[in-house]
Amino acid sequence: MTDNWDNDFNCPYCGADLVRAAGNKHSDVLIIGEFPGDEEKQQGIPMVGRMGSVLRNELAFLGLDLMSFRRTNLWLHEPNKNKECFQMGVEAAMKEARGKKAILLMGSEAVAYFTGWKVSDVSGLKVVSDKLSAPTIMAMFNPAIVFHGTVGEIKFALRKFKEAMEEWK
Amino acid sequence: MKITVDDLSALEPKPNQFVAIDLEIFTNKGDDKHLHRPTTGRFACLSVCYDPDEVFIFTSELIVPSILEKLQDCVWVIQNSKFDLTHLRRWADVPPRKKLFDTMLIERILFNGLYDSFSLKAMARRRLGIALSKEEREAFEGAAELTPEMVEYAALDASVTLQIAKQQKKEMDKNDIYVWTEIDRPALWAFLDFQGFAIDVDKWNSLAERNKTRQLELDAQIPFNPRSPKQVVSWLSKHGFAKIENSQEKTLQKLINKFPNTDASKASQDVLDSRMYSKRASTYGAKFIEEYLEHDGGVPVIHTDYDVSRAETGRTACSNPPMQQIPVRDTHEFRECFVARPGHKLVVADYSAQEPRLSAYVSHDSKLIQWFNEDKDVYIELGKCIFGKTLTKKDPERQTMKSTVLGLTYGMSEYGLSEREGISKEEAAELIANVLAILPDMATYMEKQRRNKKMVATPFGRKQWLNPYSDQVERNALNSPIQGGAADMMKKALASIHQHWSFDCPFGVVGYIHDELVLDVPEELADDVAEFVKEQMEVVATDMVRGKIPFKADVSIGNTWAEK
Repeated sequence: MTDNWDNDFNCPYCGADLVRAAGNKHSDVLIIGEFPGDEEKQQGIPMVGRMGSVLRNELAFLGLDLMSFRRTNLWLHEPNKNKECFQMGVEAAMKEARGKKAILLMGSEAVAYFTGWKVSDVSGLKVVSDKLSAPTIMAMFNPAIVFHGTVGEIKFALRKFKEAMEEWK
Repeated sequence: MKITVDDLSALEPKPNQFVAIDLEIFTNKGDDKHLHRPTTGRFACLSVCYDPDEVFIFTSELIVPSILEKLQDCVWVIQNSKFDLTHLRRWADVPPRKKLFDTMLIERILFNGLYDSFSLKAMARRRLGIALSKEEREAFEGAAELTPEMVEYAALDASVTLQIAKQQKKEMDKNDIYVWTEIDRPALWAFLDFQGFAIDVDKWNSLAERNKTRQLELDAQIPFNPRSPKQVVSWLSKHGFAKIENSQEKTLQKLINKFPNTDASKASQDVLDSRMYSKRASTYGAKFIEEYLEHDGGVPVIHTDYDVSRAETGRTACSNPPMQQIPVRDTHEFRECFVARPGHKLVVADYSAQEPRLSAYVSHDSKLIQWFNEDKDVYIELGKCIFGKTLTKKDPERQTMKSTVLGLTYGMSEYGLSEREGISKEEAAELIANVLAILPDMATYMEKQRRNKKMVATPFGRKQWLNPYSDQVERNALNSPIQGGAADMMKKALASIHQHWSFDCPFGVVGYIHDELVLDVPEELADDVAEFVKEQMEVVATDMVRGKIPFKADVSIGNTWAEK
């Protein structure tokens, strides 16, 4: 909770509905997506919409539970041109990332911001970030690509993420 | 990684060893659309690699024949070999060979439908965990000399290609090997030997002018700008189509069908026609000629870029220019511009009722198999059962049967059939149910196919991965084996025609469009070529289905592509 009740629901800079980090705070794993969609905005929880259901399914195939991971987005609401709004999301993500052992960056914007790479160059690979610190940081495409493309890249990246997690476990 | 430059004597591969070959060419800006042509670009270097830790780089095209001679007994491993082989043929004689392993085409055989990209960069990332920078690739554009960075880039590409091939070889099962060795690889060599398709440039240009005139005439009659969605919606909403939402073709067509013979429907039709003529005049006009025209022995020709298995189903695609998009449904004017060379004839061939025959084969439907074996028209036979009367080929009911049967194999919904046939959804549902009641094996097959959510395969073993999150997954599970199977068959037939070509003229295929083959051959050979092509197509197809269903090829001879 923040000091100001309203700030828990609305962006102090633009007034948009906020979707803050959710999931197990003590998890070793943090997933950072791009921005909340309609379903996420309605529920106020990241990664619960269509994209989240793909992610949940594909992690479940690997024996992993999305709900047991900490989850947040680069933007805490829909993207706009306000730099302060963006910075608020970035700072929240970086704060969430502290002490995590594995961070999964999802989508082109999150990957580009934290690593400088194009997601198509590094999806499923371990990456280095000068803004985040964790034994494992991995990049992957936004799972929503399955709605207009194929599913293989998502399966591949999550499999690699699981393998990387097993290394530090 | 050790890089050895211009030392031919150091190149000592063993027979049958996998050897990666990678050709780099210097290009100019705007060459992208013409890289499939050997007239584009200049030799930059050739990389050769049979040990991932050592790459040989050769910087002169003059020694290409000697290099290839040294690699003669090896398996050539190439990423997107059509490009490399096209250009290597500029500097050396490269006849078709069995010892070829195309990492891109093989990755597609393994994972078509699972991934979107089969580039070296994507495969290196997925298979080797390497983020391959492609910035150096761009450095070849506009350059005239190799830099050390370019050499390193070329060497890495070759090493990566070899490593990927070694993984792929271990993963291929017997179906994958069959698809590569019997279908895609021999078809690739055939595509490499295609001739340019002759075009009547004057006719093409005057057609473009005619289309422009048609558009201007229509525009003069339309009281608003037909290319302004805002104006179209505004005018039509005030003149009868009150609830019109947008000016898209689908919307206008729906309203025209619903409210025919009204001012609004006439204006809507004029809008659609004007847009059509405008697009035809611009897309298939002078720009097309300027972009793609070449001359072969003084004859104006178009060379299309064929990609052996570009579609998720494994179907061949063509681009630059995309010949399959040339209008054909409502006009033959464009096809009339594609002609035989002087003293030549065009031979055009395709399979008769290929998809229904393949559907009968994959579903083992006893009724369909019986009708095809008795050489009966399956649509007439079906019509007889459903409408209780004998149909002729001209009866509209036969067309309805044809749409239904083809639609079923392509996963068409009741809605789709109702739209296509102009009947209600209920009538369409009844029609489908009636057809499936007569073809119970087909019904069982379709039900089984629909349950697949992971992978299907063509009857010839080509895998097609499905995306369970796609709203098209059921449709793809039904459609892919048929569409991909038809493509497998056509490619194998093309390969057979290529392998057995013994006429006293170069390999004559000039087009492979919509599963239709077009050959341009000397007039005196046309009858023999037509007979040969027909025989090859029928024998290949009947062999592929183990003689269970006869396949027939339709072949015609004419002066233009339209005379079919």
